[in-house]
Amino acid sequence: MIPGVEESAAPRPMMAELARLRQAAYRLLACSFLFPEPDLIQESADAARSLRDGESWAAEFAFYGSWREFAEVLSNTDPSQVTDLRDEHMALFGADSARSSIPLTETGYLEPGSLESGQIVASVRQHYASAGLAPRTTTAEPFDHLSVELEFISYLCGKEVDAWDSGELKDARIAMGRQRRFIEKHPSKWAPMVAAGIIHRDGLYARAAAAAEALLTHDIDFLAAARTHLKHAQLARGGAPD
Amino acid sequence: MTASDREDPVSTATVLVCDHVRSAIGSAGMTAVLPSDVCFTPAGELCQRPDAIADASVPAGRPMGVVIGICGAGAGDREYAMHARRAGLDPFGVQVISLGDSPVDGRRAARKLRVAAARATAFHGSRPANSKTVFAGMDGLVSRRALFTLPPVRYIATPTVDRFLCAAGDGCDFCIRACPHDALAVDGDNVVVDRERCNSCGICIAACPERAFEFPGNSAGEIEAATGAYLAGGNETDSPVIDFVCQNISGIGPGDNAGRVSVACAGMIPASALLGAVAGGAGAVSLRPCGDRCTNGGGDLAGQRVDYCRSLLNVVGDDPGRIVLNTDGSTTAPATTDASVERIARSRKESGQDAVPKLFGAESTARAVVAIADSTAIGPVALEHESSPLGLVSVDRDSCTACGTCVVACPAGALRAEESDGRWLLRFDPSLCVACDECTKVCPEIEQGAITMRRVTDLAALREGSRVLIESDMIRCRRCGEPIASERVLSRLASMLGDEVSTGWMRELCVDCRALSG
Repeated sequence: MIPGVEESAAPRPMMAELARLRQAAYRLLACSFLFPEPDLIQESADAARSLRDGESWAAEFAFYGSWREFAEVLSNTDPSQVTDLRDEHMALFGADSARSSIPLTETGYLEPGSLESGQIVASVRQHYASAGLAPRTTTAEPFDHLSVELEFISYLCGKEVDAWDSGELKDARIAMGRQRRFIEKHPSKWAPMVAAGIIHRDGLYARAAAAAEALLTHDIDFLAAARTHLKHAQLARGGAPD
Repeated sequence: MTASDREDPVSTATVLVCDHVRSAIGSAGMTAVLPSDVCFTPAGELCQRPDAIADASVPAGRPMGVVIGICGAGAGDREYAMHARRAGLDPFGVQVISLGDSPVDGRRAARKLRVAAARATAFHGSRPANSKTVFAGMDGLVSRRALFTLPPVRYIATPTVDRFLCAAGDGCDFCIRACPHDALAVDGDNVVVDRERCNSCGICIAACPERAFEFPGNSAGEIEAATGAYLAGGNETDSPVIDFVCQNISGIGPGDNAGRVSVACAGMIPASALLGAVAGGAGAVSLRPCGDRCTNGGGDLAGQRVDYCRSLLNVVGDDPGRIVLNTDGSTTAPATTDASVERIARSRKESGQDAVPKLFGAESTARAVVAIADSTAIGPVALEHESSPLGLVSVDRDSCTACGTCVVACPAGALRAEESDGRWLLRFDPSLCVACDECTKVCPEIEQGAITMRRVTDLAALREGSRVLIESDMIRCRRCGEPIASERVLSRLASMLGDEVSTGWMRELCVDCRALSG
């Protein structure tokens, strides 16, 4: 029995299961900020229903409340609402998101209208490249778009899942480190500003922004604690630090 | 499974109790002692089944403080937090109160629940940044398999800053100076919290004159509400004793009837809270730090503040024994002096003060000091003390040039510039002065002794309130009418430059108009 912590009768979830949940959550959030298309809405709603009804242990995590509200709203969305969602997306984020009142790009917050905004984009691209990714230049969303950044974290979570599944603790630590560095340097600096702009509204986008803020804020601490735990435990077992 | 005993669409908090507690208190008895905006809901086997929270009809979707009253030890905070989250509630707003083994003492349980409910009504929700993730234990030798399993996760509330209230843009940095862990820094016009460094001690809450910190579970408002509930209800037989206790200390005391107010660290209780509780009618106030294991320096801070408060009570003719520092785990309640309490209660009634005293923020110390002194009808006395949270600024009318630099530097708003009938006035409000000494650091005439600040609690000055320290004619631009400088500043410049330099032109045009006129 650990002091201050109560043992539950239920078995503890595996690290891989949590990484899988976070992978799906980031991916779903990334899709939510894209311009709505009927197919995308249908697939997202199906995924949200399956996630919402799935892992009961997810309630242990601080992001659960916001995540559940988002999943609830998304799972009740269907393609017939596409026109309303498009109107709302346009009203909130605008056709040119960099110029709207609630931009969905990092440069829109941290260096609006600045000539140095290229530095942010370059830094984001560097993170993508270091993970072996080269973003397509033909997509509608810029590299620093919230959807692209969240999708990238989802990709890194996938790498973490692979590492846990194949028993590679070192690779898992590296994948968690990559996630944390990216979250800390990029989306965590501006996603809360997106949330602050719309959190008091109703609807899918407000709930998505709140869930993204909660998940990103949670993961900065969580990933640091997980990496430290892994390092100490490996050292205690006589393993070399990586 | 249950229906609310009192349906109230505007309720701000909910009290859930297990059946054993309910039968000990009785629904009617409980609703009678709870504030009208608190919803009382029996929740079956809540002591054994934390998932009963989800079955209870707690309104979700907005910040809601929840009190869980159970018999025995219950299932543990983490389990209740998880089920609260599942029920759409904020776990930082959930207080789990163990009311002793069944059969529960109904009278004592009702009193505890009433205070917890008052605290819950002051809970205003948390933001993601208020939550810090830590893994509990598990360091050291573990099996390889255990490394693939998620260790138990705990969440600790950390303070955040309301950027609309934060005065960092005006130069205020009291919280940064007070933080024992270097976890605070200025970013633009706001203070930001480094969650990795933050130890959640709440010492910043005591330091902030603007009440700008949000600290779910231990906010200024929640501590005031709990204290106010004890003061309003007393302990039914004697004068209430308020016991501010570091949350790391378990067990009861001092005295079974003491009103225990759990706080994040003893260092987060300022002198204004100790004096405010006395002014609010407490017979005695105790402050209990957790001792040598405290990494926040909370014990030292508590000692300094209690020493100041006792000295002050002595000076104003009250009993210094009403405020005590409890470092030895004593379970003996400090002595209460009924005569003092009656005086305070009468004085509070006459001045129309509300039930919830303001224990934190600007003016709270001054308000408490004046209330206590008024009750003893003491004359103009002053206490010079190194831990006085109040200061007294004075200026030398001969050497002060009325330049206003001190006004700009004053982060507490105690020094203010005003204009009246073409005259420039320097005003000082002693109830706002926090003795930071910034005014003397920036004064250009400090070598001439133009301004001094003494760490003193001066009753006469506090009773007098805001007053003018110095005034001067304001010289204005004859072209645009904008102020150039005070007569005193221009005279000082003229005296520095001497007779050989003509300075009359300085009184004619402001800098902008001088540039325009070539």
